[in-house]
Amino acid sequence: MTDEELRQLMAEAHGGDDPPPYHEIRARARPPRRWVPAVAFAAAAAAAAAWIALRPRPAPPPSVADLRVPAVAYPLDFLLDVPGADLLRTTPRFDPKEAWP
Amino acid sequence: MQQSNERDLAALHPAAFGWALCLCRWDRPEAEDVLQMTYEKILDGRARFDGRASLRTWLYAVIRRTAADRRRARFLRALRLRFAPEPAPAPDPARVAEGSERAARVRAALARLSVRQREVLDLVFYHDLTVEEAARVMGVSLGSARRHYDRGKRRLEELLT
Repeated sequence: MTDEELRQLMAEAHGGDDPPPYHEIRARARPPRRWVPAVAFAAAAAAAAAWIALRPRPAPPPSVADLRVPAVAYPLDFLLDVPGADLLRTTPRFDPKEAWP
Repeated sequence: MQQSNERDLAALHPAAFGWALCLCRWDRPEAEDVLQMTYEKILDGRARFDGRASLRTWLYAVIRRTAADRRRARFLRALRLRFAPEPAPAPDPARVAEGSERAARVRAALARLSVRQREVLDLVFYHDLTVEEAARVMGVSLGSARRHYDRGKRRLEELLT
């Protein structure tokens, strides 16, 4: 079979193609959806704003007042109440005139 | 797409439809759907003509890819539904028999070739593309296209004699 015969056969096979008009197929194609990127961007921006507004915030650091150790009274604290304990808390003052007359 | 390109597209439409018919084994509604989806891709800008090949070669490649995507989607859908794969659109016997008896015989013979063989023969002998251009449309190497071309010619001759 020569190439020319093949060409004729193929032309015959396509003889009844009868294509529909271009504009008919073209009209069936949906128009380009140019709003899709804009809507996607707006949705992303709204989601980001919502996340920023509603995200869980870390608790504020405790103030200095809260850091003070509360005074605790222990049952055996009385053992520390020894005579002259005030000497341990204050600097003793000596009056040379009184101490050494 | 620019006006001039759209004019070119309209000029190529009859040949593009013939190519879509060949890809869909002369299933006319399927070919129309493939062509519609192709035009959608072009209008959306999902398929862009970069001028590396001729407009016709590029358009044929887009049509071929669209037809293949549809076949693949159908196959995957059938797999997901755990049914036997939906068969490729079988040529409607009534449609195949349209036209002269000889044309029907040629179509039936073409339908029995492998997809690649049918594609390369249609591109070369109906659309007057070179084997190299056909290879570009089909996305295969030139050597592979030549092999399909030779085997397809031999097989078609066997089927028709």
